[in-house]
Amino acid sequence: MTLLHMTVSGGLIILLTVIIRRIGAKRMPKSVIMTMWLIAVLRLLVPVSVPIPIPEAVLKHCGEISADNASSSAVKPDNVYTGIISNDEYTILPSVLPDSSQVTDNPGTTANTVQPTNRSALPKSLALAAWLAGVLPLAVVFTSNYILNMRRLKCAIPCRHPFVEEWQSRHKLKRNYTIGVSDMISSPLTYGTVKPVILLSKSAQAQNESSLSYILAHEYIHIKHFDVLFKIVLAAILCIHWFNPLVWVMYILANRDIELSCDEAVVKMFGESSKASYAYTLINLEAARSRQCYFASGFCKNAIEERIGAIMKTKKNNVFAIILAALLIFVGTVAAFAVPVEGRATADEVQDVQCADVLGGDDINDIFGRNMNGEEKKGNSGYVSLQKQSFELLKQFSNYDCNLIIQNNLKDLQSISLESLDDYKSFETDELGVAYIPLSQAEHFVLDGTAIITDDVGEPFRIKFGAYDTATISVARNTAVDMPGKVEIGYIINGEKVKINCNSAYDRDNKGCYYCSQEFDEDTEIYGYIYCSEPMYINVSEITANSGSYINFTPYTYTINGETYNCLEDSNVSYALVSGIFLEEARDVIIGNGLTIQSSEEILKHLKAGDKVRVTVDIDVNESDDIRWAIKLCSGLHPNTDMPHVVDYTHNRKCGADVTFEIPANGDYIISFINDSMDFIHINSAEIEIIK
Amino acid sequence: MSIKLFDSELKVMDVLWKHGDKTAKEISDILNAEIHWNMNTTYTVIKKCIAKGAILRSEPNFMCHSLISKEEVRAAEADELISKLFDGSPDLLFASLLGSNKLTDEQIEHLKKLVSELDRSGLK
Repeated sequence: MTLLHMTVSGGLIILLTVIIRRIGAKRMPKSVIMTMWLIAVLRLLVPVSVPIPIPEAVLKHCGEISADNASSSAVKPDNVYTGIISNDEYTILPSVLPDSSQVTDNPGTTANTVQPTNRSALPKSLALAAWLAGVLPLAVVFTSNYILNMRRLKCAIPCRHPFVEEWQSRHKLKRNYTIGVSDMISSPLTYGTVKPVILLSKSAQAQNESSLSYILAHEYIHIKHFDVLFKIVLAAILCIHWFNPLVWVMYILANRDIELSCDEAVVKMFGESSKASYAYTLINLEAARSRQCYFASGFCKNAIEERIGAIMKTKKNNVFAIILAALLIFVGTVAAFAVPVEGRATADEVQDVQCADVLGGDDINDIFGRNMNGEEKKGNSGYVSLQKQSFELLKQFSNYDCNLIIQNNLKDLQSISLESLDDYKSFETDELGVAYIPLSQAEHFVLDGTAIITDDVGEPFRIKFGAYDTATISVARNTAVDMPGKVEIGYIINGEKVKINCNSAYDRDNKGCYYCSQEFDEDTEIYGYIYCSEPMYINVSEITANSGSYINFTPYTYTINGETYNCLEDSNVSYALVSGIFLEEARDVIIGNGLTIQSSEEILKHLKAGDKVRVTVDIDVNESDDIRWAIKLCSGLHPNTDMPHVVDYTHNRKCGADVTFEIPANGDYIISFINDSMDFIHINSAEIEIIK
Repeated sequence: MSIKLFDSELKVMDVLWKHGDKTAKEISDILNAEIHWNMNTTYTVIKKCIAKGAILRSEPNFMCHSLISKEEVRAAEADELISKLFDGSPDLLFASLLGSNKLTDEQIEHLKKLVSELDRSGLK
């Protein structure tokens, strides 16, 4: 059985179904049409045909051969190689190749089977390439659509609506299903076959109880009928038989019929009198959704009208129609799966097998296998670009009206809460209209003029800048009050006022958040300043020094002894931690951006205050031009978090590190090496030495 | 303008508002217990929060810090955000109650009329 055979006989059944659907759709239960689709699907998917004796009589002239073949077909070489290659539906693919020869060759004249195999080797690979050129893009479209949607659907939240919970307890299924609610979908839907999930949209959840029970019943029936699986199978068939226009017709109509059949079952479940209210429920949902969207298109008009019409015309089943339907289904099945048993030479099938060997069904499976793997990996590393995004976020901050705090690595976070306008403080200004405000008090104050932000004793911040530290000043003002004035922020560095451009990206509407930052290469004394041309309510202002880079251009991977690992795959460890090797043992280890490699806990035990720890890391310069690293001395765990508590740190751009820390107090310590650069860092070797 | 967040993102923010700063792993553990999200789902949502400026991530250990207070958050109204999200039609591979195309007001009116007509003719 070849792909072309399947597509032709499958196509005929589709044609038959379309005709029946057209003529008898109104009188016939939808389940009949669904069964016809199912037969077409099986015909298109299962490379098996059943020899029947009838054609023997008809095709008398080849009676003898057919007798031979009846037995040989029963063995079915198709099945043999299906079993060898794999069990999934793609196994039928290799047999696409023989088609070209088979179509032209008269089945009766296939005595010269060996020759066609060799002769058609090139056209076969061309045919395979042409076929794959259709399959792969379609498969990619479907899989990416599936992955993207799944990612969103997975974010749904369990539905706690009392009526829904009660409804579910009354409607059990063999498979356990869950009901969730999502504000990221515009229409209720069902997904999952083994563990089905019903998702309600917000607008659906807000419906009254009778509408809700229609909606839930509809989705419940989808689950009961395995409709989601059917939809996926339909998509798979479309991928395989993309060259058959009838399959596209089936894809569209069968997808509609899934809904029609489901609607029919709902109406049966609630009784015919419910038709109108069920139809109104659908229209109301449709209306609720259309209101949400800016653009509406009329593409679907026919489908929805057909659907509403079908619901309203649902009738009790007519016995005659059922008998007719049963007959049709029987004829369809026979027509689909029977092969007229004649001289379709065994040789043909031998050829099939040979092709499978020559052209490698495994190759094809490989392609699909890789696809599947790619899909899984994608799911896993979906947030790898987090750091990159958080860098993007830094640029976008001021688009949002938010209180903004940038965490200084060595400073605990302040918690900020909103207060009423009466609670805003005001500060005394000097004769020049300048107020000196300690950072710790620089929140919720009214500012008219210039504020210079100082440390707690009125001095400038002496920030220990490393090689690539960024000073950040940020101001958020209350936007509840409409204030026309302008805000300017910047630094006073070593006595000089340096205005740093907060370009429009930081502050598009001249309101909300102001944020600017600058990299420094050496220790600097800075004040921050805020200037307001009109009185303003300032929510919070911050000055911080950020060490490290927020950028991530590389995945969370590290390489030890040539083996590459991804720390996202190890759910037991923090995501940015290299596991399996300690810093002091690191030889030829390559770590990606943001990754930390720690020393073992044993090496720095029972240290005394005043001891020194020298850390040297030899970094391979060829691996990257941009090297940024941080080395941290950590003691125990931070009281508020379960992360190692940073006692001291240093960081630099140098290609190679030689850092000595003085131990501040007796205790156990850990050294962390962090890759802050945008690229991989290749550690040749690292040593940790205790100097007593 | 306040940040608009989806319910899923609010769940993550809720954890930070309730428990203070947490690592992504901890958030994932909490949400797994609470609403059965798996790790990847939680990270996907955290990523969205970071992109929207609701969470600041810091190293080490993927520490998440809330940048916004509960009062400043508005639940996303189903508006252009949803229509943007719906580039990839979910009715392709999922059994969606409604198709992915939107109807105009006139079409909806037409459908309602159709139902009432068919309803009446059915009664006769």
